[in-house]
Amino acid sequence: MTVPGRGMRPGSTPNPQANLWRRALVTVARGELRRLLRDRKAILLAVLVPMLSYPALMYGSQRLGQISQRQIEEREVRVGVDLSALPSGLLDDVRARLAQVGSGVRFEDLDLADVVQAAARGPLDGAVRTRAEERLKDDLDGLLVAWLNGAAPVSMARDAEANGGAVLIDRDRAAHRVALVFHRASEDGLGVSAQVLGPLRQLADELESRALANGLGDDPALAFAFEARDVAPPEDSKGLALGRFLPLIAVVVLLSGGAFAALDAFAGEREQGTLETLLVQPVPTWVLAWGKFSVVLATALAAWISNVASLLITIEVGLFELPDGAAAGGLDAGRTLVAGVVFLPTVVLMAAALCFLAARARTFREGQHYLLPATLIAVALASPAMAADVKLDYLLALVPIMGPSLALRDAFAGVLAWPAALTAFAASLGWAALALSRITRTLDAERLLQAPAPKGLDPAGDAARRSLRVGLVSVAAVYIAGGALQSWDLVAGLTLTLWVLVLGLALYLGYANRRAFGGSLARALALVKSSGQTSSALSTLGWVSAGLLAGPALTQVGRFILEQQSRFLPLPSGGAAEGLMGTLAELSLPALLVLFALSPGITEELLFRGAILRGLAIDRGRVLPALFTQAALFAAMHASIHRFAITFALGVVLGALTLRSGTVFAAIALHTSYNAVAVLADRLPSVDFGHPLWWLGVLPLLVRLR
Amino acid sequence: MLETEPGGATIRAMAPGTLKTARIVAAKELRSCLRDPQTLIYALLLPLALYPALFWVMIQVSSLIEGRRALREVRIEVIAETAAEADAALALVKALSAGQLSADGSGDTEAAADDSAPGDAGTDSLRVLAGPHGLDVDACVDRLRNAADARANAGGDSARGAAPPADAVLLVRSDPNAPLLLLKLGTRPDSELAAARVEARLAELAAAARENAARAHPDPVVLRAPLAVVSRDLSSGAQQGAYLISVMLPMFVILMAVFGAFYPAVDLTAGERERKSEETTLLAPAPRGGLWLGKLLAVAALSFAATLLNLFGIAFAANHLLAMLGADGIEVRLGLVEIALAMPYAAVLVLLVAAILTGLGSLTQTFKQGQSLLGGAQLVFMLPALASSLPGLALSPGLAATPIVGIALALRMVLRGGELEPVGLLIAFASHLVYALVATFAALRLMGVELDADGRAPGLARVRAALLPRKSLPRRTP
Amino acid sequence: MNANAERHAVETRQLAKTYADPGKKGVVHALEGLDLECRYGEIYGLLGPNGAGKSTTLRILATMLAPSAGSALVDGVDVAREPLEVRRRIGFLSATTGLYQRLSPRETLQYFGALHGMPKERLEERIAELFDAFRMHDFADRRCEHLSSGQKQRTSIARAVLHDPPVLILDEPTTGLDILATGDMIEFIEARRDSRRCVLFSTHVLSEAERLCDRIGVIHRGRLLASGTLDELRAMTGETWLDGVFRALVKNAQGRAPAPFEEGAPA
Repeated sequence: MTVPGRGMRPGSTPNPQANLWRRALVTVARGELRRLLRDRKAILLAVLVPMLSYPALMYGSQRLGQISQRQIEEREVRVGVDLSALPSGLLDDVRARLAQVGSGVRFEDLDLADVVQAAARGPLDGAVRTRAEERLKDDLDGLLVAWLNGAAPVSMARDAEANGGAVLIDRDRAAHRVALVFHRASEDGLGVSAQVLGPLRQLADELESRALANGLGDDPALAFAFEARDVAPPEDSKGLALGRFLPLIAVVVLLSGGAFAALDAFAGEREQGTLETLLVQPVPTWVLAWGKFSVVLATALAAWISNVASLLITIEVGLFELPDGAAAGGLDAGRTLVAGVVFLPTVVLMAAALCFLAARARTFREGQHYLLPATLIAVALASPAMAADVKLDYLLALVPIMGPSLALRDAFAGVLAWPAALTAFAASLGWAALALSRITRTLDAERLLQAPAPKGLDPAGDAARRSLRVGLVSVAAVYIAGGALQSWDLVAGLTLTLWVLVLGLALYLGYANRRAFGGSLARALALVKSSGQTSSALSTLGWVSAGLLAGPALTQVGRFILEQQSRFLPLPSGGAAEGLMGTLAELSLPALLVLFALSPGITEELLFRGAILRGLAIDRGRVLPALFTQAALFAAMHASIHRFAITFALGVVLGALTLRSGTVFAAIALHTSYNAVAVLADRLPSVDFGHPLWWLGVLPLLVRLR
Repeated sequence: MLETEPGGATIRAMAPGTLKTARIVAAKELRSCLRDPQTLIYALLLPLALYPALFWVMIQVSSLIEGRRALREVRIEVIAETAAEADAALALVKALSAGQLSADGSGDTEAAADDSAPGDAGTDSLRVLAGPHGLDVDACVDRLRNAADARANAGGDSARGAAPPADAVLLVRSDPNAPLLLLKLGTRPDSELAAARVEARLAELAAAARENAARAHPDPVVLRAPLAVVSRDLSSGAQQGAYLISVMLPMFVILMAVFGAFYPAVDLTAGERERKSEETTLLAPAPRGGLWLGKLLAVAALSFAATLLNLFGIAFAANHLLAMLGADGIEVRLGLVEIALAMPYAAVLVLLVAAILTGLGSLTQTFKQGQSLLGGAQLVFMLPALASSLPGLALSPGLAATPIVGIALALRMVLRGGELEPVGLLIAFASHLVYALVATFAALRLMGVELDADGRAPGLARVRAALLPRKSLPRRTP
Repeated sequence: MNANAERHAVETRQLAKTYADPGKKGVVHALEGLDLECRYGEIYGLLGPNGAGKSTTLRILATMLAPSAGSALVDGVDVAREPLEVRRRIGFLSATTGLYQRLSPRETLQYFGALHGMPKERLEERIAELFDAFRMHDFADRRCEHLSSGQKQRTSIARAVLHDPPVLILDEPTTGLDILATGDMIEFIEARRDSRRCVLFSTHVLSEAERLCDRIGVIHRGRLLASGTLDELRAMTGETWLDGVFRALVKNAQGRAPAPFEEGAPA
């Protein structure tokens, strides 16, 4: 069986490189596109169904909302009223105000003397509560009662004297009180309180003002009364209402639409085995990568455009009213264009990220799984745009996805500030370029075609992967379990978190990794040098004392970092910190030092600088990435965005110290000393830990590091 | 090998019936799915870890944004409507500029508690400027709008023009009875922020003015507020928590049931086909109905597990979040009674969802297609799930029988505690049980549809034929 | 025992199968009036190019597909009327009957045993026997996704004969196997030749057909062109080698010999 051969023309020179590669790129892209488009069923489902579902979903939810609204309006709410305790003038005022409350509320005069008496004393409980409940069950949704607050107490007069003249309106000692008894945890109750309490409170304010005017001649507060008005142009408001949701929708649509193509082009081909065929073609891998990327980008754009068009048409046609109730019609083409342009690099970024993720997956399924965290991260970054008062400033403009999302919203609202927008645009271009540069690396043939090493044959690689996994688990576990334990009991919880959870994880990781360290747990935990050599007791003692001495100087560095950071990211005030200080005040100083300095020092160092750093850095070539990864995990575990930078820096210093000294003892000492300074500064305010002299303490360390 | 009766009985055994087959198949599929580390992580571990993580992210991001907001300097202009008010306007400017909280803080407590305070007190982040006079309301509006545009075009914060433009305008009206008019642009964050800060300052000033007037009065004055309006809430913290959760949770339960069933449904139908182990299953001499039922039950079981775990994850994280937000008093607790009452509804829902998704999955051949089809189908469940969060919808018989909506409303009623309406609840359960059984039956028939020689799934016509009892088109033999 | 002689292990009468063909918008006749007959004690080979209808036939016999017309009987049982009973009496193996990746061989066999309704102790004994016979003890508890292709092969075979079926149906059993595995498969098929059993397999590897088959059936375009021992076929066509035999038969049926690369020609 012979096949007619195709003769090679001898002496034909190859075309100039660039031209060739460009043609190859087009060929690859066209081939990918054709493959993609031929899977008609899948495309139909992935693109068409979402497009059609927008109108359905939006219309349906609006109808549902309307039905709900109508049902609320039709429902009649009844309030039992007993205002017999009020003097007639006040009573008339109150009744007049109640008459203005909406028609859905009906007031009925009842005798509620028992409730009145009980309410006057305080929160309802006991038998009266039961009776009130019973009343509320009989078709009543609220009880409005009033009582006298008794004569002005003697203390008021005394306060008046002390205050040099007058005691003003004091609501606690108001002359009369009106209370609404209701159930907050019910829809009717909420409705009643909203409709009744508002007008009554307004009445109380007016009566106050009147009383002041009578007593002092006039109410000086009236000079500062104001009425607020929003004078934004209606098309801006409408644009804002739309622009708030678009970034989120954009991100979700881009990721799901593009994912489809990306998974198919990379992971899917790998699974089918056709990737190998491609890789042996005489085109460089970057051409292949870019060809595939361009198809993914096109698909993402197509999904984006079609979905947004569907959304906009739904709104224009009036099937769906924007929450602000702005009238339909008149969407500005110019703004849409600007918004589209501003967002474009982000589209490229997301497409590139998708390609990157898909190339790392071996199968379509696996690729799917990488998508979920990516989607969550992207959604989290795009959601600040939903709040109308998050401003696009220079810092936020640099954040990928977040900056352009805010710019998109502002573009639709017509309030786009072009410097910030340009920053966002340029920054997103930068991120996109970064992502694109990594695409060519994704099609590295060796890595792709390599079968996964069977278990047990690569203890070093296993150790590195395991260390990363345990690191991530530690962050999650300490946040979740540690948080729960500490909210139950601070001291016991903290002790348990450190000595059981953190130490336990460190021991587990060291034990599991020991094979990569010749079976030695001590080496895995950096208790001895990685060469297996034990340092002498004297040397260890030297490191420990050097570490202890350097602590105060390090805290000065930390404080400096925090100060610089608060210039653009101020620390929040109050909240959990005060509760902490309160509990801490009860403990003795030694206990405090053990709990907050020694325990974290020992346990956290064993886990992060010991087990995790040793495991990650086992590959000599990857020591630096290991150092930073470990520091990042350490910072993440402390679960606060404000302290991230400082904890990360600390983690780097401690990690470097461990690497240079060979063991973890120096880091333990330094960490303990660092935390101890924070404790001591609170208890011994007379000692100035910010004094430059503390810097002398760094010298022993520097000497040893030489 | 073994001695057997030639051409006749092999190893004589009692073939299992349909239900027993289903049990065997379901057990095997479950075991297989649970051995997949990715399934374990994404369907089981993730729900537990996701919510606390999400809440933490939300809190951190919002504190980041709050921090940035506290640093922003915004500007407000005070304008007098006519020349006669110019002095009053200047006085107002001085008062607002100096308007820090007075030492004894005896101002109106409601204003002091305003949330814009943290970055405000002590930092001069509101610049008050004296504007021109003689502008009426419309002129002010134009001025404000133009200023905002100019600022945007000139380069935002760093512009140092002749007169820095203002973010909001406070107009002193010529009519003595009219209050100050605060004009802002709701579309611009700076304007909203300026307005919020000015409102807080004005409230402080009002309180301080009252104080000073009282002190300056020649005679000691004792004034009591004529009327105080208070509320007495009869709901306990637990009831409030239950209310809160009854609104959010049913929606989550439905969505989680769908997400939990999604992946196994695709995997056990299209995935098996792709891995070429579908035929292997078909060879078993067990009734095929049992085989399909077993797969469906495995999907339902996984969905149920995912739903339960999500439920607990949310309940746990909700308490955590409420504590962090300082909403003390509200307690979110899932009592045993509520859980027990919710279980039948969750079970029926899960069966319905599993039947629909597995049936659809059987129409596809590859994982990719299965994913696309089921992904679209998921959207259908989203809308009715919203029903629980809408306050006006009550569990009437009509709504109770509406697919998915009925379950959402029933779950809401059950989780809220308090009064239960047996009629509505019963209708919801019974109707959805019927739906689930019908869907199961349809799914079993769909799964039995024969693929053609190239392994392609049937077109719509054949699907329709499979669902309606007609004998002409080929189906797999049972 | 004598009742056997009258009954064929596999018998089809005018078996036909039609599909709607989505690609070509028409109907595809995969099988047209196939009359097949396999006896106990023999190894029967179905020969033919791809698309001839071999897989379709075997799948109908395995009750995967339903016949459009005609009838098929396996071990005396009608596939259309009592498919469950048929499945109890056959073992089926093909490239598309894969293994469950996340189960171990032992678990796989236990699963199928349970589906067959085998009582537990009997099942365990049987599994032990099969592990002995196929030397599977080393990897009996390792997940199937971690097995080598030869080990997967043995597991598949064990699965197919777990219930010791009288009729064994194999669809291109040596496709994709390496030399050693192919040798194992051929040995296994040969070992199954006994008076109580029948092996029916399809192939397009001519050497296998020549070596293993007692009788050979040649299928082309959904029809059985000829059936008989190798010698009978040689006599019928006057060719020595099987590919020549095949081409002659096709020529007879079509009126001309198939051109190279034409549909129906051997590769």
